[in-house]
Amino acid sequence: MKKYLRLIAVAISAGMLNCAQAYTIKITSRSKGVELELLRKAVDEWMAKHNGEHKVEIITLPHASNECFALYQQWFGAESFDVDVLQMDVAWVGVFSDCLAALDEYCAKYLDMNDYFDIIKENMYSSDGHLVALPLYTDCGLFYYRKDLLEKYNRSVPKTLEELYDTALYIQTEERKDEAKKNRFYGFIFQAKAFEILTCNFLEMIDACGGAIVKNGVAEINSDNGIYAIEFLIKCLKNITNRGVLTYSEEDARGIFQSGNAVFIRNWPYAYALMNDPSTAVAEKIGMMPIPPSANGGKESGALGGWFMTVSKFSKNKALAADLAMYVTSKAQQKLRVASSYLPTFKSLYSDKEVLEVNPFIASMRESLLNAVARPSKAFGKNYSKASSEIFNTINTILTDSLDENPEDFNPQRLMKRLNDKLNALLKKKQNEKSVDAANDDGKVGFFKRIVNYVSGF
Amino acid sequence: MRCRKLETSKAKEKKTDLSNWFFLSPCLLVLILCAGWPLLRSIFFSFTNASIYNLNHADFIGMENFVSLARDRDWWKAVLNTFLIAGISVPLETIFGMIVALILHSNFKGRGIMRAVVLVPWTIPTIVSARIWGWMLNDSYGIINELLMKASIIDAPVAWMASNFLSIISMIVVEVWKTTPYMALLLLAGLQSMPQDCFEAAEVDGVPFRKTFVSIILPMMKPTIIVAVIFRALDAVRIFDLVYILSSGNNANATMSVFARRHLAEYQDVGFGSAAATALLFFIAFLSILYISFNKKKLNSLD
Repeated sequence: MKKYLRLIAVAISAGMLNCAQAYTIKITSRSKGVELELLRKAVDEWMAKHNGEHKVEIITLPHASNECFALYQQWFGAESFDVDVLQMDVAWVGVFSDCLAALDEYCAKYLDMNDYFDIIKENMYSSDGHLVALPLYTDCGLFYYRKDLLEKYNRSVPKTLEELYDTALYIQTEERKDEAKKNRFYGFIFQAKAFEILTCNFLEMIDACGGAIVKNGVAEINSDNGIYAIEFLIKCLKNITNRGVLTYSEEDARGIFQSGNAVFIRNWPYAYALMNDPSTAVAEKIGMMPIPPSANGGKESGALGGWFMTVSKFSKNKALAADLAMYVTSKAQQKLRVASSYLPTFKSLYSDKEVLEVNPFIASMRESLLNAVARPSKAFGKNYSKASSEIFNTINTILTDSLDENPEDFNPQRLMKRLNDKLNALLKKKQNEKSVDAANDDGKVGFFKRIVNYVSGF
Repeated sequence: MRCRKLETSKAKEKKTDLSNWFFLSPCLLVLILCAGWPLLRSIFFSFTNASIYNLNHADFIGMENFVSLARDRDWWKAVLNTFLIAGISVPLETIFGMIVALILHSNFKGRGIMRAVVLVPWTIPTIVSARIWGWMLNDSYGIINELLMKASIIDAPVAWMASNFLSIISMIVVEVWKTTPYMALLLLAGLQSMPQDCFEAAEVDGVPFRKTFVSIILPMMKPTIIVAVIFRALDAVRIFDLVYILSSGNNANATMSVFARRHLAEYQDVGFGSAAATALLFFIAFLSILYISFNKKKLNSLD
């Protein structure tokens, strides 16, 4: 009997607690590295700030980012779910902007828009000009190089892609004279697995060569600069790169470089702290630089990555959700994240004394972010994942064929042209969808009526 | 009198028939809800332009999805890959499975333990074994490259998954490794249900094993082998997880189910993805009908 009484007491007190709290905000978070712990800390602070009035539930996302993407699509497709704040990749904001709440009225007066990097600011707005996303941290593609090897062979840090190729080839040839490194040492490693990462790799390559994937709403991947970029990658793959890169994502590539078997590698800033760990073969021997321009013309580059916090259009308490999103993405919070190598999105933090003391490499990232290039997710809207997949599939196929096919049969231009046509078709589809949406707004016709219409149309 | 008795027994049969259906109904209901309804729905979607954003007000577009599917080069590549993997791995599994089953059927010490051990590859979840194989096949740290280089068979590491041809071969090898135990299990069951006196008679007469195998075991095992091959072939045509984990993600080495999943989940193209899934279903249905009817004739002629 006593036991039951106790149970009842617990149940009642739990019920009372439930009544007292106004609303439980649900927020999603990635769990890579220390990300989840950082968010949990920030959320606890936010709850304390509100005197425990509101509760927050953290929902962890799948590890692979394309799985998160698919999950969000299902949620938004179902149109009714009770997640309020969603962590989102920079490239998805354009895809999901129809399903995101406009944050202008909640946040605009608190934010110092001039302090954000321009390229990040562009991605905070939906295509119809509403503020929909708050940046949590940013990311930018980089080249890392082995300082010690450049010194050993008396080479300077390359200023152009072509110079990089020559340096890498030279050092690779010299290093391979050592029997232990024969066939195991490479000049340059990048990521060419047929996934989003290859789209990023190719994007910064084409940008560094002076081209673009989409320009003014038209696909330009098959331009001279695009062809030059793909030919550069083929040249690398044939001479200074390991064939395995065709199956590599970030971590596979990092392993090669970190065990001392490459001169140059393309990766994100997160790799810096890990590769500099005293247990690796390359600790204290690493330098960083933006992707250098091609001698043919072009600019320094780096694909923009990074994650945003957004509020769902279907949230039942948008004001509170926006408040939480604003809190976790605030300048003070981003300053705390610097210690874990997460790049802040505010320009002023890159010259902040305390920040530089904690993580000196941050200063060199400012230049890279000013030159960063964003993926064309806005141009493609909901078709972005399809467009990106066309890009990485074609590039991966071209690179694979360049090694496998007879030189006479190998024709990358044909594939690039097909890719260009497909991308243009997707861009057109997006424009058409807009006009169809407008037409459909007058009256929604039932599904069976549509079948009847279709059949009677014969 | 006799006549009446017959009638009552018939009525009884009818009654048990009804009660059978009654007791089956909860199970059937669950099956219809869990398997029948989604199946019908995906067939239904394959005739529409549904995307994940407009599931409830999609347009009926007739055969359009199937027409563009038939024109899609990537789809036919996926069909080819699927049948290549299934067509090569199933016969290999059958042969290896038969060998393993015959060994396990013979009398030796520790047979019980061996029977359990052999099953291990099949009991590991595919995701796990695919990841293990992924590491073993890794071009820079993989043990397979290391062994081949130590044995001087190759002099530079091979990137197994970076070429379309090699990746298909590697996937077939892993698939065979994974499913041979299943085949062996089915065949072993068949071997054990065979009357042992045939073997004994053959042994007494001093018939060599090769002859026993060809003229006794194979003919008697035929129904078991056919069932096992059908099961495995249908399973192999649906192959998904292994390819999803192991391959480089390129369309050139996708299989039918990977293709369908890509369009459904990654491109939000529910209509087209459903069409691909429906086509896969028809491939399987067509194959099994063909195979079963073909073998029925053969089996009947045997009797």
